[in-house]
Amino acid sequence: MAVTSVTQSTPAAPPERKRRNWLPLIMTLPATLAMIGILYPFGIAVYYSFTDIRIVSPNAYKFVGLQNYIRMVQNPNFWESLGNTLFFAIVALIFELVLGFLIALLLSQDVKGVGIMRALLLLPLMLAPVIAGLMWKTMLSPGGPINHLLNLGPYPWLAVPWSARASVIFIEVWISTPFVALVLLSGLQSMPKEPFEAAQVDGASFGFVFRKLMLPMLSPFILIVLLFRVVDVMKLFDIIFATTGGGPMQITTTIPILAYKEVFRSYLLGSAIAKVLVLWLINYIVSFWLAGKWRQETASVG
Amino acid sequence: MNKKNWYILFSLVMVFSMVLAACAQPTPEPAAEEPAAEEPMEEEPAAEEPEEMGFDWRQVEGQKITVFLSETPMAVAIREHIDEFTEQTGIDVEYLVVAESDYWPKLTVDLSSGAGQFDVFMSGPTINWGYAAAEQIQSVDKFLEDPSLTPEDWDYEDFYGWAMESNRWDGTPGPAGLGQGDLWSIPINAVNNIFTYRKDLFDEWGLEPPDTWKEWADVARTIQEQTGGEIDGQPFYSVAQRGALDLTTLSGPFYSGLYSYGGRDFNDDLTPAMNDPKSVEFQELYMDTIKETGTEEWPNMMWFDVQQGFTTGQYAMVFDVADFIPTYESEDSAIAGKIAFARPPAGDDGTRLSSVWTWGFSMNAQAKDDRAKAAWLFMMWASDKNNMIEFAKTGSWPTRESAWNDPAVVELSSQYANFREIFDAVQKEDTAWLVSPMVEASAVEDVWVNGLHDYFFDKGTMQEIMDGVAEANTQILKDSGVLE
Repeated sequence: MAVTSVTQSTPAAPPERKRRNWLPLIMTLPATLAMIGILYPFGIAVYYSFTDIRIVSPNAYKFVGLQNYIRMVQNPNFWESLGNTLFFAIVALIFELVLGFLIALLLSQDVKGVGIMRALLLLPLMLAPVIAGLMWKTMLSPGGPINHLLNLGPYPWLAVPWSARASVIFIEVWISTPFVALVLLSGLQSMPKEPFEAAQVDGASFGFVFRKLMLPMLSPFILIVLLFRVVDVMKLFDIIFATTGGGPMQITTTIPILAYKEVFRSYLLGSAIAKVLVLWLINYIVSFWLAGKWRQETASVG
Repeated sequence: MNKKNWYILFSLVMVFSMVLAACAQPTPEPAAEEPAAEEPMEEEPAAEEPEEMGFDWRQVEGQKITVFLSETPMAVAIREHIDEFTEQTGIDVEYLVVAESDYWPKLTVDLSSGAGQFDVFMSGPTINWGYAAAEQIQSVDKFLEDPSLTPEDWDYEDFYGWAMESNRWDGTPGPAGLGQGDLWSIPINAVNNIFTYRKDLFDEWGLEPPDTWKEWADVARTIQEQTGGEIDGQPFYSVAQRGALDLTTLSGPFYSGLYSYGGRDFNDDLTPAMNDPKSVEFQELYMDTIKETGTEEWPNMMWFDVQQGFTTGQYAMVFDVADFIPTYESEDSAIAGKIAFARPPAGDDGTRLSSVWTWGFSMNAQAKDDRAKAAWLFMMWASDKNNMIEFAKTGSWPTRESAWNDPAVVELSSQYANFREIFDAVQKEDTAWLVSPMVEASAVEDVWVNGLHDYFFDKGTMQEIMDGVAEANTQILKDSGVLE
């Protein structure tokens, strides 16, 4: 009978097994397809970085192994461009964080007109970076309004090495600081009031409140800002393209600008992709680390 | 009705009368109105009638093509007249115009992807070398040789020799391949270099336009001493030249001087020559003059910065392309009526050269069959003598000798001081293609301009810097297999 019992229960099993086998697959299919859509071009790009593919003849190329990477590390222009990329990223981020925090602090005050100020703050964010670059190129031209306002004469901001660098950083900070300020403002507004009121009653200084209360509670927001901004500023291209074109000399040439020139002036697509992949790797490592820190901070603050 | 419209109408009427119902035309204007058209038409009818009757402009009527334009005087002219092409041929044209800085990348991406978005596009020799080597554009010789596609009176021989030769290349790197092999573009706008100076100020200071490059440097320094770098409290510089990290920085004015002076870019065996003694000597002269008497903005100056700066009266002299002249003489210009022209400065041995660039139209290799025919008819139309005459009004100087000598262009070009006389001499005697043809031309020039920037910022002697540039360029040519 027992055997019969088993035999009788067998026919009911297949439908259950079918549901168990197919449902998860169907549920994950969109994500799988999206993943393939993302990874396939990435995989192709990685493959191209090991070839001598040229943009003018994309169908005629051969595998060259590590040649593009070897030439890259031997090329002083690459190291200079990487240095410029990191320099712009670090300096711009420092300014954006400090200025963004100060602006957020001001906008968190409950004063008249703060709503309008918050709306105005969004204006630079709404401009495409290349448009902002062209706008500032005109403003910084020798006969432009900046020299007029500062009474500097025909100073060529974008043609002198130090000021070309400073101008690029300034424009980047001008565009991106509002984003930083808005994120930090939301952080400030989400903080509980009680600890600050208690600190005020105890007569704590602003420095103490900032170090012991504000900064720890803001740290997840700061990390989110860094996560977004590091990746973005490391890819800095539009502003430089519109203002200096990477010059004078190589002083404002970043990795994306160098790669762009390799593709469209030298037609060396494989070599350019190799450089961009190095930048991607740096970005990935930094982002991975920041994301880990963010998870830690969120857990501790939570 | 102007001459152009009359001409189109005349062609339509003739085609209508000869071709059967399939080629039905829009209703022509009443014949009685035609005599009221402008006078110049009286020379056309009898001689051209048989040829026009034999050529069918409406053979691919109903086709649609896309034309890609770079924002230049020629593009302005094309846009103004593009409806006339549709009217004449029945071919619809979509066009896209973008700034030159965005133009080449967008075009390169389209061509390399094989998308074939643009059937016809503005182009010229240096850029075409890469596209031709990759077979992304098609040779136009087969169209030229087909009498059903090229009107008999189109007249190849009417073009200046340098205009056609600079657009022919057989794929061999170096000067030997130029003027040989396939024709890759039909040139329309002759972008030759001419020396332009502030005659009012030169007269006031008792100066003559420089005849040689050494005189150019001397005159620049004299002006600097005379003005102290200021006029009426405003900055004033002796020379305006291009300097930005862009391929146009070298190809025109700079190359003219380099070759006139006895220098060159590459030797015949394609070993770099930018570090040869004569090349270095010229570059020192050129760059020292810019450093001492030009603007500090030089490393960031594109062609439009040169054009704008000279137009606003900030410079005493400029050696750049003649397309800028209508802007210099426009109503809003601070220097209108105050300028005059001279032939390019010569080298020590009297060699005087103006490095040519031609804007023309090339055809995408993806354009096939009737679409290719439609694209070709557009190229035929744009390079027609009468259209070149119209285009000259925007500063797009013609590549056809007959168009340059047409009364309308004679009148137009004669209104600018001695421009006509000088530019005529430049086109007949000084113009030559100087850049060594090779796919790697843009990459080579990029490294070279960087070297000039290094010199501008005192990073070394010209010899040291150019030795480095030569070494880098040798590597570029080795990497691409041009040099062993």
